[in-house]
Amino acid sequence: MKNATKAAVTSTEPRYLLRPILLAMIALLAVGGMAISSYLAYGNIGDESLYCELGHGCDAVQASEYSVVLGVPIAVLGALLYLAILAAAVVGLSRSSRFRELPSLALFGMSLAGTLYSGYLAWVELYRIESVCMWCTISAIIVTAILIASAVNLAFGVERASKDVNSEDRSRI
Amino acid sequence: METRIKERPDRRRLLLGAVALAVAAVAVAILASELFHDRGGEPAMADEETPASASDHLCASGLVPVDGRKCGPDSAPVKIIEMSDYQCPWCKRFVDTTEKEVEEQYVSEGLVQIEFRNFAVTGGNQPKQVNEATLAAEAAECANDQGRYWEYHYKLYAEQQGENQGAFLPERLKQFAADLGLDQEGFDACLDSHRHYDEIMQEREEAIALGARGTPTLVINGQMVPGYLPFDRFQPLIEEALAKAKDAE
Repeated sequence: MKNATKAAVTSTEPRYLLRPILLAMIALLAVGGMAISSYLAYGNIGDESLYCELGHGCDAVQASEYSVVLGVPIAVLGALLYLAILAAAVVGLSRSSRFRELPSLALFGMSLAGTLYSGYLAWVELYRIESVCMWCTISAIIVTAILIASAVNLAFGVERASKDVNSEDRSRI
Repeated sequence: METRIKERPDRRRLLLGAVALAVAAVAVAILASELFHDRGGEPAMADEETPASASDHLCASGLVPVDGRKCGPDSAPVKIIEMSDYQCPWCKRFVDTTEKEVEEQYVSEGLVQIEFRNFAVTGGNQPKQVNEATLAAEAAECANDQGRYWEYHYKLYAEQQGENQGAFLPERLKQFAADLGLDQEGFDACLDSHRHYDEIMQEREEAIALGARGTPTLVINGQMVPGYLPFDRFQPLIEEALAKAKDAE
């Protein structure tokens, strides 16, 4: 009983809030990324936007063959990645999770992959298509922000959490 | 404390594993992109579509009747108006693929007449001296003044790069005229005077009034078709218009 009270007190200390704050931030960013990817996927799958709209852009990037990999629009892959990131963040946030590090590691790995691939796509946009797609750039910024948040989480958030777990374990012993 | 010391190497291994997996996944995706896209680097050529050069187009070949920006006989039962912008990648894709098929299968038979109209949208509201969308359209009109409209039209699409990247600034446009052997002095004077600018802005207003919201917009015997369509989806619309025209006879 005494231990439980102690845990409840420590979990509200600012340093213990880092992890849930980071994970919530990642979840929110992932929702934003999913919205953008879904919008881009809609433009790619439906044929409705295959033109240069007056006062808007041309979607030259979307018109490019680089927007599809092995028959799958990149925007769909992006939406799936953000969905997986969202899922990992939610699992990480759930208090009952026994594997605290796994979601954090998965988040780091997925956002690293997303950031690297976004970097490649940005290079393709700039040097091959010579046109930049605004929503693609926003998605690249979002996935980079997720990478930074998940790296901070891995470096500090998990450390704090594991200390917390260790102290609980020790006090149980 | 002991448990933490034991955990360390595991954690590092897991982290390395996650990084390795991420890098491997990205490497596979990039490899797939590099291996399976058309190496041309130009927008959007699906495998079944082949890009065309200017000389491949019937409208520039002298084999079909051409009157200024109209290609095909006036007697053609189906008239297609193409409202387009020279910087627009979808317009290029339409010209290189669908339009080429239409020329070969319908214009050559006297069934379709294509009329090009300028709908210069991609330059935004930039001044006429640097607006590459209107400059390209003006240059095509200067070529039209010399009776060489279609050759210049295809040359522009062949030379298209990204939007507003300097591909259609006056020096380049004059070079295209030289490449095609136009009367250079007349062409340069025409382009420098912006003689056709007001007409092009007028055409833009007309396109908007007709209900066009972007380029390319096609009008097949009055039926508006917004955006690029591959030939297999465009052809039924022509057939439908042909059948209606036949019924009306």
